[in-house]
Amino acid sequence: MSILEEEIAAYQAQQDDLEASHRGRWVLFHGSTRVGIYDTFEEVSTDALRKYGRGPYLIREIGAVPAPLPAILQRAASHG
Amino acid sequence: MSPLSVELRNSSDGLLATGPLLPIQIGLDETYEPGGLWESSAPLLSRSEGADALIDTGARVSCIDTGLAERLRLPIADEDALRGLVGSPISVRTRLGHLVVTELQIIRPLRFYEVDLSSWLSHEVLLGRDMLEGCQMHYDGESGNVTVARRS
Repeated sequence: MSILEEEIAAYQAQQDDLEASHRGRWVLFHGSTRVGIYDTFEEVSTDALRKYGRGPYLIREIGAVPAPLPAILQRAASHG
Repeated sequence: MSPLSVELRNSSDGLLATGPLLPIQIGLDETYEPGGLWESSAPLLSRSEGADALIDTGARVSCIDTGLAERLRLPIADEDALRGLVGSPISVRTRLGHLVVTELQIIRPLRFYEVDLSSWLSHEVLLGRDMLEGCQMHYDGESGNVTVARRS
């Protein structure tokens, strides 16, 4: 079970609306509560730390596609 | 504004073998304020560790070894996906940490993808292009020196 199961489920429930209106910005979920929308990772991470310390919480860039695994680790992953 | 820089000295063979290694600290600064003064924020990292981080300009994201992330108790901030060799997503945790580069007076929150780096590399931190935002990097393969600079 994921430590962020509740947060990820809450994100997925709102994903379509979030991507329609806030793509490229950052969102913070704590439990099932959407805490806020932020312009930068610096802003969202600072607010998350201030409010909830070491968590758990979900910080996600809205609508971001998965980044490529660094090439130096591709070989490790292919053998993992 | 005056430029700040750090020179990473090596031999040309050494640089070829290891790549550019930047001395950093990683930890968590729970009092961090965006745009704060370096002098007031730099010493506030709790449970930080020093490391030589491999700069990988081919990587879009930065990674941290699972063991280091656990030792520092960095918050788990997501369970995200990275795109693997054949395009299939690989699920990995992301951790929130603060990166400090003393010579460049950089302290910034950074999203680290948690990977079992130490099984494959001799380094616990890999810094991608997200760390180099706002920096200049000069790679001199002839002398073996690399310079990273930014405006203060």
